[in-house]
Amino acid sequence: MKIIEIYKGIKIVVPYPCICIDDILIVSDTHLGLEEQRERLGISIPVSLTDTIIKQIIEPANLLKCKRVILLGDVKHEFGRPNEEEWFSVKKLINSLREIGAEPEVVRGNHDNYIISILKSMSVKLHDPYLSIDELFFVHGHIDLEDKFGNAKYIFMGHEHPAVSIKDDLNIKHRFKSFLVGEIRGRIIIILPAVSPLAYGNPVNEIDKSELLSPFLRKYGVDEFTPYLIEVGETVKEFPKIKYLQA
Amino acid sequence: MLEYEEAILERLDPVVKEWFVSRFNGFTPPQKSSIINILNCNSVLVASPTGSGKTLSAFLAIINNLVRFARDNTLEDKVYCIYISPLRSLNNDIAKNLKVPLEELGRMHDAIKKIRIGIRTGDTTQQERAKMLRKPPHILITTPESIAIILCAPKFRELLRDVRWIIVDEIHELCSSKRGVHLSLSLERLENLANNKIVRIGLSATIHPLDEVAKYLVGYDNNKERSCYIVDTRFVKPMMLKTISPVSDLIHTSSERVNKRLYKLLKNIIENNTTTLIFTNTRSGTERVVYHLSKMNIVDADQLAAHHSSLSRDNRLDVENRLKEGKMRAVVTSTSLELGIDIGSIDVVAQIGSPKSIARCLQRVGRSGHSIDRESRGYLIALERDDLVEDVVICMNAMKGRIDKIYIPKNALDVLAQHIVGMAVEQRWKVSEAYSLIKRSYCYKDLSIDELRRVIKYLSGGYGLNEHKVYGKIWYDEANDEFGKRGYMARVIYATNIGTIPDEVSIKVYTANNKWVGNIEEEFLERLSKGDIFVLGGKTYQFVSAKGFKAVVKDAEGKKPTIPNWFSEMLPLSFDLGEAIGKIRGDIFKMLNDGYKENDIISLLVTEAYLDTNAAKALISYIKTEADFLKMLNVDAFPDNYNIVVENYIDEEKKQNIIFHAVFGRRVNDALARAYAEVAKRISKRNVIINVSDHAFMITITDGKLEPLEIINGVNQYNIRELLLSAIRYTEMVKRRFRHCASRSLMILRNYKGHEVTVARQQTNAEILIKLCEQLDRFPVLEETYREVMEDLMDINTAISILKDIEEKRRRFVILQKFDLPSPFSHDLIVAGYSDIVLMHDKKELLEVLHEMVISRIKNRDEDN
Repeated sequence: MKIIEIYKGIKIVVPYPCICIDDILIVSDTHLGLEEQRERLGISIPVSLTDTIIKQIIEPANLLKCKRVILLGDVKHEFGRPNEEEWFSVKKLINSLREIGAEPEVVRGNHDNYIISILKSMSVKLHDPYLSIDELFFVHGHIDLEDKFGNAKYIFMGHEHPAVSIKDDLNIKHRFKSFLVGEIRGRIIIILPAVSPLAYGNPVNEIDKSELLSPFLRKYGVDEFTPYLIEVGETVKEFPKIKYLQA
Repeated sequence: MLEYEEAILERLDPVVKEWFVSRFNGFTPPQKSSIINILNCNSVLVASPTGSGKTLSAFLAIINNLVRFARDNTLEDKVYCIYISPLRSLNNDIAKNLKVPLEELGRMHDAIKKIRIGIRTGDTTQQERAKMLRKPPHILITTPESIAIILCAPKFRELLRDVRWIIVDEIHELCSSKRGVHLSLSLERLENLANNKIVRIGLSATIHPLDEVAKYLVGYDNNKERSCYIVDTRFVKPMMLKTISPVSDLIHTSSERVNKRLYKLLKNIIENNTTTLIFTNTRSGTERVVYHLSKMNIVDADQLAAHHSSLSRDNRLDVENRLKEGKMRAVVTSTSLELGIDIGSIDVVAQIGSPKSIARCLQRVGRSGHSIDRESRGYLIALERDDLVEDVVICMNAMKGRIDKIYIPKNALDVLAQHIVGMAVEQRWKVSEAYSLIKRSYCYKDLSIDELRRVIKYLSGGYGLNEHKVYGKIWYDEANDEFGKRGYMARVIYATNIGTIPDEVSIKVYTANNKWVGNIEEEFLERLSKGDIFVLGGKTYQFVSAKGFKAVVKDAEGKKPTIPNWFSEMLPLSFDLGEAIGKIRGDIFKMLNDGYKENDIISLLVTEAYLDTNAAKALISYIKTEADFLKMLNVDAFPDNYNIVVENYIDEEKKQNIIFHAVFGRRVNDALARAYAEVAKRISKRNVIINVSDHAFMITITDGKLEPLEIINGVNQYNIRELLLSAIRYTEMVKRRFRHCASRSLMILRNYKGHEVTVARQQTNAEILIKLCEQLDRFPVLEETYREVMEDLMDINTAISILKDIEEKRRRFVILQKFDLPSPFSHDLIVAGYSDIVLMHDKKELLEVLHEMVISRIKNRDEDN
């Protein structure tokens, strides 16, 4: 395991799609059960992704002895009211975290509706619509909460599922998930990639800012952001700002 | 040539006999052998050219039996005969051609009017299908897809229990693709359903080897071939073939001049004949030729037309009808008029470029002289040097009756998956029983039970590791080793997703002034960025923009492509033909080397090889320039079917290009090129570009200083499979084929719960799915993807036998010294632009490399400003 410290005390835990601050681990967009939704649409994913996703959170939490794990929304990929059976993956995630002494908390995302009662029944803290701890501000990102940022210095967001695509000198495109780190009006904005292997967003270096998913980012664009490209399980690599990566 | 055969007439019902004698002067050669065999309940494969009475050679015996039943009043409401062809238009044709004799027979005897013919395809309405249930056709005319659906239709399948005859038309077209693999299992399922042994009748054009196609038709019983009688009348029709070159030197003549002479040639041919059929190899080529011919005003505008699969159905039907009525003077087509639909009388066929295989050449030229005693006439017109050699060799072999081998895919697991779901819908199966049914098909004779079990495991959701909830399309009981259907959706999923032809969203490509230039696939569009240059239909374009299903480009003639076209519409050269080309190259080289005069070789070629003087001159000058080049380097070997000459060419950009001259056809060369590139990649730790044609292949390393010998020695018959597999992983080609295989395996459905699955399919990233499947133990969909790419798209098996040849000294490498010029034989290859790239797989390394590139690009940009 390698650490990339993007700002003092704010660390990317290589090669995981996670950020760590002291004993807090931050992850976003796990979309547990996304494969079930695909199945209902006629696409079979032959592998269960639950274990893969849990591993990506448990491993760094364990290594860094994290006490708190903040899930930045879209924990479960909800599509209508899930039945009892479909809560299996969510329960498994929560229990696995507690087993290693890390307490999960959820910041509500746009997919988190029915999950609320399950969280309640398992006494998992839910922050709706955001969580703020001193100068840290955690939000999913599907609604613009800039007016709530207050004195926060660091804003952590998910929702965007950022990806970056890079062309090699033979003109072949390679797409990677990415963290995005940038400054907007004096605050540091940190956008996390989706943990779910199936959730890839549009490459942010190829689209217009109006096509970004998060309304807050749509206002400013991400041209000045620095991407940290990630191949989960293998590596993370800092690249020049998005504005230099446009085709 | 025609005469009656008493032995056959004797066996016919008196009415049928009377009708036949009143209508025909005798039996054609295929009819003489096939009718008696079918009457004797033997399966038959008839290989015969168009216009030799193939339809009746299959149907006369069947009609005879049905007439007898009708007259004896034993004709029941069930299907007796199933006719299957790959084309709906052919189905309509056959129906028409059967209705006429049945009506004539009906006028002679009332009872015969009871015999019904019915067509069932994807176009058949619900209403018509319901009607068919009440009054089933005695002769059912259908397609491979529809027959597979009918097998699972609870009521209709009951009407098939007494089927006695199955006719598979255009069997050569079917058996060489997954469609044919699919059909082979349907035939076995049908045989399994039927109460009695079914007589199978295959109708084929001129192909080789007939005994393999016969085995494909009839299949196996307990690992033993079922019997099949082969009627080989492939060469009954006289044929005239000739290779022409528009100019005497194809190397130094400008393409404008070659084109000008080409159209003059075509003008001559059209004017001297009543109806001319012109084949080009691509749709865009067809459009171009029609455009130029129409500008020349040789014939009236309505006497000239294009016919290809991108045109609307009405449009095509109109052209076909006018052809039949004898109203056309010239029709230009890509491949769509190759198959046996009745197009009336054609005097001559002109083929522009190479038809790439002898069988295809015979099939195309065979469209002319549409009756058995009329000569087929064909001109092969070469516009490029490689085309010329191909055309010459095709002519020589075709005239001697030598035909290249057909390839029949085997053990396709995706097609198998579809049938397993279909079988599960029918009934509950013991795995061992299903296995023995499947093995009766020629295409699955060697399937291992493990492979079948893995397909069943996949379909029953058994790969969903650690998951307590199982999604499966079938149900599998491990204890009893049985499988069956799961849930009410299985039947619908099967019926609405069946088939093997991948449906791709195509993007129409226009120039800025709204001229349509062709189609590209959605996946290809995804790869394009503004400014990229790519090849479409043989021309080069620069990508400008895209919106929805439309892309805009501008002309970029003469510029080098920046994006390879992975999905080439080019037909690959057959291996057998390639070997013959290698041989003739060597023969001519030897003659030149032995001091024969050019004029003597020319007159020898003109008399022996069916080509005109221009073509002979062009051929010799092509070979002579290569020979001169080699002489300059003091090499006395020549690239032929023994020597694989290897160039080590360093270009102006200091890139190293290792060029292999091997006329093995693109399928073999692709496999070899990627294996050598993989070795080069491992040694150099860089991405390697490959460039593949039918006649040669090239691997390019930027700033390479590799020893060709080291790369050559890195590949052998034992490690090529592993090298190739590693080279194709995560390529665009594999991702695309994976989507197709996943779709055929019903992993990604096209239709579900009554609607098309589009958005979710688009969002499903093939690369991610592949990575997930790689975690599983020999996951059938992924295994099939690699098999399809290596065995069907490429030809790894022949590549292996070539490496064996080299190891056993039946072929050898001749490595040239490092040089800063490519040899003349390499020019076409270099101009064509690259085909693909063998990439670094290690994502860590890849990210480092990409990072470096980005940094240097930014630097350059800053310096420019």
